Amino acid sequence: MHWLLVITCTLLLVIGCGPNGGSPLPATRAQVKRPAPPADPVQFGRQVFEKCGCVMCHGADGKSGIANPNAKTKDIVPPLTYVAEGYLPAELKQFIRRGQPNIDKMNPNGPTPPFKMPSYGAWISDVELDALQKYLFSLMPKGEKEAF
Amino acid sequence: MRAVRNLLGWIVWALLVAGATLAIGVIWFPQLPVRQPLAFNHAKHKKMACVVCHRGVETGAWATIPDMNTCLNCHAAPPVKDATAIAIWSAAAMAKHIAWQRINRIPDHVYFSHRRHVDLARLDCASCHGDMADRTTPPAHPLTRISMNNCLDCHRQQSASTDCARCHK
Repeated sequence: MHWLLVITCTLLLVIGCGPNGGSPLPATRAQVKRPAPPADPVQFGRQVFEKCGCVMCHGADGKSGIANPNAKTKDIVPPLTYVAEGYLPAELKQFIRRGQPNIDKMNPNGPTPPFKMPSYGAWISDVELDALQKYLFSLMPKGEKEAF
Repeated sequence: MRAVRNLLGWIVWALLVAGATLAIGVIWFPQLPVRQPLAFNHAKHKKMACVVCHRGVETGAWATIPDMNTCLNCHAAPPVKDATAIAIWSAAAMAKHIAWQRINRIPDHVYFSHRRHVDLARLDCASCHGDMADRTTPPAHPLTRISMNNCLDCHRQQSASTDCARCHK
């Protein structure tokens, strides 16, 4: 009987005095600092592009979008490489703030495309939006001319 | 008499073991397991910064759990395949509310500002909340144990205030 008591008390002591108060959960780990925003607005814009999740749908560097079945944009979320051709800076910013809640269907009788563009109005500051616009405009391949 | 003493001994031992089990349970799992209405996959959303959905961390004391409108901003159709999950999603979309359950808590006598730690100190969320971004299902318990010792350790390393009144109401 005594050895049972001794074992129990020893176990209690070991568990109670263990690392992290005995809890199996890890302690909060080594602190990781997030880097400060870069001074270059295009690089900052790239950070914003990733932070706001644009990269999730439009792909790395806006080069290729993910599948968006039955979307009129050829069943994909459109790439952003040529936005500088289609938008003035103010237009692009307005579009980003407004988003696109309704995606046109390729087949009107088909299912709703699963992904739409969120309205970033409440998510993004003016500074971030400005940098994002500059970044998106920088995606235009250098030296390309408009072809008609 | 000896038999009675033996019996008493066994009862005492059984009570000790039961008490120890309860104590260990309370220490290791101070809250009951949390179950979420949908099996949200953080790993699939990993490319986004946490603040996109958990708004308020850069500007206020409290982090927030995303409301249904946040999800509906991007998802035009249910992002789940299971029939039960689709039903839950559709109902939540109709009501514009989904009952996410809070998993991280601090005692009432502690004041914690997310803004100070996220915006001013520029701490990464994983420092305190663990590798939530790698989770494919919601955890039932916090991934890390946030304790005063851990807070003080970091405050000392970062030369931040360790004054009691800074954090305790």
